[in-house]
Amino acid sequence: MQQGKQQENAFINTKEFAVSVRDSDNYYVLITRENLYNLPYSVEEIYEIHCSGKYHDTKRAYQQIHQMYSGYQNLPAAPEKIITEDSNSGYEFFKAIGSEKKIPCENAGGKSNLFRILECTGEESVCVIADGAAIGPEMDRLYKCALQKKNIHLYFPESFEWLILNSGLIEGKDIPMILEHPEDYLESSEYFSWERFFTDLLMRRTEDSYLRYNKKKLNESYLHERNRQAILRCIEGVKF
Amino acid sequence: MLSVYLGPMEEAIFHPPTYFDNQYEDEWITEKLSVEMIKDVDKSEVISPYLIQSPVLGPISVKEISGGVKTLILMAFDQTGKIFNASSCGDNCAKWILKIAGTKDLTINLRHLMNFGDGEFEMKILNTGDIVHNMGEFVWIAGKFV
Repeated sequence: MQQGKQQENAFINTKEFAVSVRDSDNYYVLITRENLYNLPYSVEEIYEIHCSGKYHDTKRAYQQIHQMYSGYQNLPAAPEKIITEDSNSGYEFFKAIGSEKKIPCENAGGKSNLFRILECTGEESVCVIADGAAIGPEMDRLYKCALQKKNIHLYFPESFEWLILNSGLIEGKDIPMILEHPEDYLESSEYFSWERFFTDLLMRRTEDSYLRYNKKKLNESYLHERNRQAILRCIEGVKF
Repeated sequence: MLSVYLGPMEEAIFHPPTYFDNQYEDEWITEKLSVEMIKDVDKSEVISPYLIQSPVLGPISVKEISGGVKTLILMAFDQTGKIFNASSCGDNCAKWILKIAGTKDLTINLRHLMNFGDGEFEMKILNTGDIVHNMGEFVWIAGKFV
């Protein structure tokens, strides 16, 4: 019994637990100080417990303005370098933007590599762009990096697909409502993360249009001037 | 001197509060350091080795103090040489960990990026052998392991 009690919540960091979560239709509240690298959770779903006298409440752990998490308060940030999470469509979009503005853009090859890459950055203004919907496990160390080095800015919209959906480019009067309250429009057992939900939504809503979306390869229509500007207008915290 | 092993550590006591409940000594509770830590972390008064007055819970037994302060008391007074998981402690315990390490050699296990504040300190990271002196140095090394 004592040994069992000592195990307490050690299981929540395991792959086995992550598989159980993935295969269930439950919502989970996990209370831990550790980062749970086996689970994709949103930066906006990380809360702190605050005590005030007899009362306890929760509030979001990471304060953001325009989805920017930074120790530098003078927004919008003007990056001299862009680092994206991976090499998918989002990278292709920002690489094209960077190419036009002469801002180098590289991809980290996965969110778990972002911390290592930031360690090697110099004094230039760096903007990290990643999917907020699944960056939760990385957030603690990335945010503490940004607090130590004021030239690092973290831009974490829910996902690149969310950005496109939020831009007004995609037809559908219900889209703003879905983005505001996505939990009302999905069954949790179907999607392991918000990122997958928004990707699926965007693909379904564009499959018969010239904006047909592919996560691995960016449809060049998104780089046409009007479409590109519509997406960039949604990014308030960064000035490209 | 504070030595920290970052990340999973099989030999560490993963849940110090349970260990505390079964191993603490009554005289630890009335030690000056314990009284100060219980006052600061739990905002509670030590009445006797058997009774704590909490502003939230009222009169409570020692086993009802917070997990963080139980862990701190173990770090300060346990003589078995065991290594305790300091991720049972919140950031409000960080300054006490540094203070305890100022009086003895203390080795802890840490599984998250604890905030040790804006001041200078000395901490050996056992994973790499590095010695860090502030949060700036600590974050860049610890972030690789937790």
